[in-house]
Amino acid sequence: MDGWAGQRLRVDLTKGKITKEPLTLEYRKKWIGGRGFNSDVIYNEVPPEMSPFDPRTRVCFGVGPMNGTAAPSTGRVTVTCKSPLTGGFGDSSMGGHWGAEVKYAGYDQIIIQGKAKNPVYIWIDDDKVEIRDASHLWGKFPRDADTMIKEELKDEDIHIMLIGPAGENMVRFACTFNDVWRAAGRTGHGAVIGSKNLKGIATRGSGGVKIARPKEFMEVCNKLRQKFKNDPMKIGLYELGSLCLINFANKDGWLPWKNLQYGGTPLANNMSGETHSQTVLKHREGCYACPICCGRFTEIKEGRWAGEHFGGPEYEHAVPTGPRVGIIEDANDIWHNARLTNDLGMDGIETGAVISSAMEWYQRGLITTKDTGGMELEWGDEDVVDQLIQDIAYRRGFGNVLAEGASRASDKLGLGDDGQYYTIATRGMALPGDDPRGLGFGYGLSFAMGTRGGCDHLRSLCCLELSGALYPGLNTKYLGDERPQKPTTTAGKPYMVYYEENQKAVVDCLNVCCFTTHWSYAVLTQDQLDYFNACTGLDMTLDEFLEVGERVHNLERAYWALLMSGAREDRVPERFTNEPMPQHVDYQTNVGATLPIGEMLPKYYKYRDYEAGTGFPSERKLKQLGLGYVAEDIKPLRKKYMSETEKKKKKYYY
Amino acid sequence: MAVMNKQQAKKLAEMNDFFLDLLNLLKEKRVISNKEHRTFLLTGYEKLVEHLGKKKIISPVDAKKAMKSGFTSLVSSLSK
Amino acid sequence: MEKVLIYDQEKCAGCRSCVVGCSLYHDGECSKILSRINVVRNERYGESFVAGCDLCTDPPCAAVCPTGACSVDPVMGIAKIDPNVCIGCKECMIHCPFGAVKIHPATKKAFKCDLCEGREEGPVCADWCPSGAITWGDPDLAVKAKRRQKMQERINAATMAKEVS
Repeated sequence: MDGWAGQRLRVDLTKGKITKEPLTLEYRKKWIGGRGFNSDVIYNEVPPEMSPFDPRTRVCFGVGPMNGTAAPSTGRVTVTCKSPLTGGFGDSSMGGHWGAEVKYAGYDQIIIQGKAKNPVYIWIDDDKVEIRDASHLWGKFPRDADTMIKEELKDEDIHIMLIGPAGENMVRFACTFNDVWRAAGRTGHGAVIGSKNLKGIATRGSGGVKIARPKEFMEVCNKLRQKFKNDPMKIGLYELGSLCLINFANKDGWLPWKNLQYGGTPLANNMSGETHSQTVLKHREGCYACPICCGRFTEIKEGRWAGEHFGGPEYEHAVPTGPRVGIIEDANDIWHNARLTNDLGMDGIETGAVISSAMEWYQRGLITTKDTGGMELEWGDEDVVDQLIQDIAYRRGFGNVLAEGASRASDKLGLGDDGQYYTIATRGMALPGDDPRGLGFGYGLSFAMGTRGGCDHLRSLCCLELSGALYPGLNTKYLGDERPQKPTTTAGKPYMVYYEENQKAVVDCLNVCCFTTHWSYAVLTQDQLDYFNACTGLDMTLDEFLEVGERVHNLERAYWALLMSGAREDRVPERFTNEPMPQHVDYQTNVGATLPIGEMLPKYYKYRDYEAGTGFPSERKLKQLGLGYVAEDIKPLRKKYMSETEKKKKKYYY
Repeated sequence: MAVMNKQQAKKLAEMNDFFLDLLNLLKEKRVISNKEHRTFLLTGYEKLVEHLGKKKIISPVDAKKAMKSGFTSLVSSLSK
Repeated sequence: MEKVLIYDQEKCAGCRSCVVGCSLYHDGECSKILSRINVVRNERYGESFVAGCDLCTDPPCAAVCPTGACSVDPVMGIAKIDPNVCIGCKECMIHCPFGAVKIHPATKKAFKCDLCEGREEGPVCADWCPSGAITWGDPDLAVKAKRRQKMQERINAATMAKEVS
């Protein structure tokens, strides 16, 4: 079979049963792979009322037809489950080389269900799959578990997916890794994997990916790789990593400082890509088949953390347990905190977000040392942050409260609406390091509308308003207008977000890296279609291709509808609408800005064909996408949702 | 080919977010079919302009101009 | 001097673009097993190493071949393997100091780097390498450039020391 492996692997940890299920051509054309495969399984197999930690729940690891091929950046894996953080649909993506290995072993997807009696790991050796004892690995950092498994299986060249102690302790935002350091960070699937007593999945694949039209495929891949050589985003990302964004973020006022009270800090350069590369950069790294190689390997050379080393950090990883909690003076503290969240296995974004929320609650007197077990949550106190990160991972003291995520923690502490205000979250998931009052109004709109919990930069990744400026004419090409290139305008943003969300969903189904398609625009939508068709032998048209993205997005949106989440929760944190951006940096460009979400939301609904009252996808749209059964599932819920709205039901957080 | 009058054109050109309204207008005037409306909503501006040029709704010169200069130019070519 | 593949291990980012490009170019399939160049990684420490053919002018793989299947190509100046003559004895694979000779899983014959003979832009691995770990060039020029770089580093260090004092 060309492109796809043609089958998925299902492992039932309760029964110890392993099955291989073929995937029909029709199915593969409908969902393509990766996120598409995963979302379909979650919708069909995880009822909305099921607890995220119920043994019967599923965790899916999806790869796509492009995985393991010569298309740019084909190592990624999408991890999907019902999120313990939000209670809703959740997924995340990781780079590395494990995705290619899974494909080479002969699988397009791995579905995990059930719960093992004792800690186990799965060993996939091509078509041989076994469940092995992991009691000696439980409690270990991913770096140690990785070494131990490679020794045990006598092969240093295998690739392994792993969770850390935080996942084992079911911290609600625990994450997943492969190749030790490459993280699928968000929505808490590490906790679900931990709840199943699963430590990881080791994989060896000796197969390959058959290409339907190899000459054509080679031509497209070659053309794209030549393009990358002079691509401005590639150059920036290769040289400096995603930390290349720090100084831009600071200038344009989207670098979170003290829980997004401010959009920057005068000392931001301490943690910039430039500074990082001159002080602590040990190696540059690339995920499978990547022409960019934005990965970093860091070694701290001085100060109290000297000697620590780890893979990373990314911008989004370093900022939350850095400037977001008021730490910037000593960048080594920031690198150390990033190392901690990696070793412990927690989403850096959510960890920093919950600590910074707690710090703001403390700042405003909503909580005191009585609540924190004596800890004084002062901004910028590294001792506190270092302690709290570990307390969260091991669920100790105040850390045990924070391990629930900011929205639940706020309720647990009895802080009411005031507490929720400072969680800077939508649908219970926190904002990453991107203040939309500076990053862009398109991003702001997509924060409200994200289908894995809002406040998520990766559902649209509408870089047309960000790196779009590096590609003159690109906005006109897709949107018909260059005005949307400007971040702080609403012009064209409803269409931009609609287009980019669909595009990004396809990219996630292909499971290629969005740095090649959205940060850098070297790989245009047409290019993706070209390499997809040449690889698989299909002749999909551009609209069929993008329709898959729209289908996946709507399926996820419908899953939220089943959880009675819709228009009422299509909101951004009120900080962005209520608080004009204050000045904190001399050259800041967005002083006074607020996010005019109300100007964009109604038009966006029209693009999406969402119903005005509920925000649910319309029956017409769902039928158009071949999701008639989904329309039937939602039908009985409309009346209930509207009556809840009329009764002014409390906001849905999780 | 004139699909709208100058007043409609002016209204569209001044819109903050015009694409859906343009597609709706073209469908209403039967310049594009239901299916084509759906296709261009998904695939974007450039594909729409390509199509209008191919179908001679606008001249090749106007299509080229619309690709380069964006929708205000397109809307002008579509109006009388 | 004739162009060769020059490996700068410090720059290897472990992405395996070379690996996947090689197998696609030669076999029309994407796979590590079919690739004539290999990447070894130690993910825990962020270390990567590209292990390709070192293009020996006096290659051990040719020296040990009992049939002459592996011999120095007069035009290219490096060892080439003729699969029609190869008997799959694996002596070349065992004797290559760099682990650059492999046995094809389907044909069971030995195969190795052939510098993408016939490719106008030169070998795919060097063409696609995003970090400059593999380049296709005149080794004389590469070494000369390295000497100048080392000299500049010395100058920079001396200047800094002077400024500090």
